[in-house]
Amino acid sequence: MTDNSFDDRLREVLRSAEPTVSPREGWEQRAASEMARATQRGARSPRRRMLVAIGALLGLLIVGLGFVPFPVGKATGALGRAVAMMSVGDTVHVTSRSWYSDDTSFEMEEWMSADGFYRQESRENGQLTMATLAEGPWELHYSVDELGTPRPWGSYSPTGLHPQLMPYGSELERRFAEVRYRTEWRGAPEPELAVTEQRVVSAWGGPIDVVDIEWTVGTGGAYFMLGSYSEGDCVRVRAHVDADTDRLLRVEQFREDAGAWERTCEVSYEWDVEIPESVRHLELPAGISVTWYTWWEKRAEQIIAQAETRDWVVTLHAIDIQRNGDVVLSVSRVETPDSEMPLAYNSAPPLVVEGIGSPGELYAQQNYYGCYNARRSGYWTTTLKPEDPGALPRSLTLTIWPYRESPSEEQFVVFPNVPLPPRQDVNDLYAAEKRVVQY
Amino acid sequence: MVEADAAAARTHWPEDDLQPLIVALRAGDPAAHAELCQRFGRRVHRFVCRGLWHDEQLAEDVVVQTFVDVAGNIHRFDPQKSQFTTWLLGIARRHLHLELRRARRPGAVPSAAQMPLEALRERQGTEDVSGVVAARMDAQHQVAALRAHLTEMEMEVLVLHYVEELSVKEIAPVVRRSERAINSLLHRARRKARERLVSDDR
Repeated sequence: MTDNSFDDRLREVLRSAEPTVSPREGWEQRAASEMARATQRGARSPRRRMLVAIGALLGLLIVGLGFVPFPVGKATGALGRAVAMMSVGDTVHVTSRSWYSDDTSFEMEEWMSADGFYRQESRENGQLTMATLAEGPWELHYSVDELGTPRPWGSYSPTGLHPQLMPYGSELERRFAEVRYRTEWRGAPEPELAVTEQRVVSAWGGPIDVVDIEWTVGTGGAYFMLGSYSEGDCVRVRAHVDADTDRLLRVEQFREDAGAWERTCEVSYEWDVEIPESVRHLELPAGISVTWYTWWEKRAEQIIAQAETRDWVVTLHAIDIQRNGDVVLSVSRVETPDSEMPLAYNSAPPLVVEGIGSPGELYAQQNYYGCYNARRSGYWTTTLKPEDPGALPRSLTLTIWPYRESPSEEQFVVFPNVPLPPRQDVNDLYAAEKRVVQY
Repeated sequence: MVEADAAAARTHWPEDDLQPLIVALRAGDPAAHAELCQRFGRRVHRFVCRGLWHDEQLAEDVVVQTFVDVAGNIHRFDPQKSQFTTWLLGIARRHLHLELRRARRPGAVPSAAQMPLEALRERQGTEDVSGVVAARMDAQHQVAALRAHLTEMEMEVLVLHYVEELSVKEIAPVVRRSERAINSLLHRARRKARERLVSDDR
């Protein structure tokens, strides 16, 4: 189909399907009479003109006195500076709220500190749906499923939470980086994507940098903070940054609807505030039982073997053998002081292991990304399956690639002839490693 | 006859011709109100009916409200910034979307808006209308499929371009997007429509 014939066909289809209804008789008289009334209302009497003049004067006074923020210039780089400041600080208190088109609202409150404390509560239409409390290596999670049944559980993570304060930093940074890439590196903004940075001042506080990012959501929709958008939505994210401290104060999100911007989400930040004592405890409903998963609790401090590559210190913390002969390794990978490959806190390539049993049996690695509740991906659990399940090796030689992005990555360590413990009488060691506490 | 009506409704009024009407509207001349309804009533009504297929009364209310807004805000119309037609359609669109959002009315399936056979017969002046009805139903099914495949905004831009015969520059102020955004939307909408229509052919 050529373009012209396609255009003709599309035009024909759309026109043929047009509604054929006509306005009912008499509508013109009704419209004309209402238009006449509107015109009369709009006509400005001397009294009305005076009121308008007084109103305008008052408006000027209000603006002049600084009660309404007014722009004073550009704020180039404001968002970049705010993103950089996100990982700096002692504590942050974040309150988020979003509104969905089906009239539900979602609220989330978070407290974070640089020493690893984290508390989060989520509510849908005012009802608690999820809560998390993490302090040190322990985390307690509480959620309510769709039937209203509480689902609490807890876990032990060797590193606790990453001390990165700003949980959404990476997301905001990603969006900002995308904008910067498109505007700076490609020379011109993409259609439907724009960023403006402006400084405003008011009598209520110091100067604020207001950053607007607008774009049209592409295929597959988009999630940004608590906002959820469909393909074709025109979205505006507005960040308010304290111009004196470069601290992010507030992020608002809007969706364009019929020419107006409809607010979809708002997130507020309070930096370096004292965390109230009441926030440090999570009250669970009486009688509830919590399953605590404790795999790393007794393994994190153990060291069976340790070796170093240029960038990594690799530690074998534990070897467990299941009843079926599977070997479960607990391994950690930490950067050396001079490491040129620092770990991202939320992602990392897999840990790759090859195992050879003492009489020569091969062991195949079953999972590459297991962390088993270790918060940071430097702590790994991985299972090796013997070619011969009936083999009873006395030791295992392990070759471990701590950060293997490609087969050519040559940083690896070898732990030769690691003695094997006896098999345990369990086939799922992870599931067995837990304790249930009644509250 | 139906096609002739549609063609008449699609007619573009040269904007220069509208100057006297706009001047008269600014003066609050009742005759200008009547002329505005006469010249643009059918087009605005059809525009509104695309979203309010099944509620004739509400569609009429929206049309009236659009003209009331035009009369009340005519002093804000700036011919240097936009054409009168696109300004008018922009107001109609805003009212239409407000109503759709308020009532969450489905805007997709046009079956309730199909013309009764008797009415069509009157218009056609003939007893044999089955071919016309079949063609219309076929087109409506294809448009319903397009609506399911395209986003609301893409569909809207498509209709404004192919049915209202508005250019990219003219569509932009109606839907309050930049011309670049309209270009992109139109391109995407055409691509999706082509995919849909081609797959229908198979």
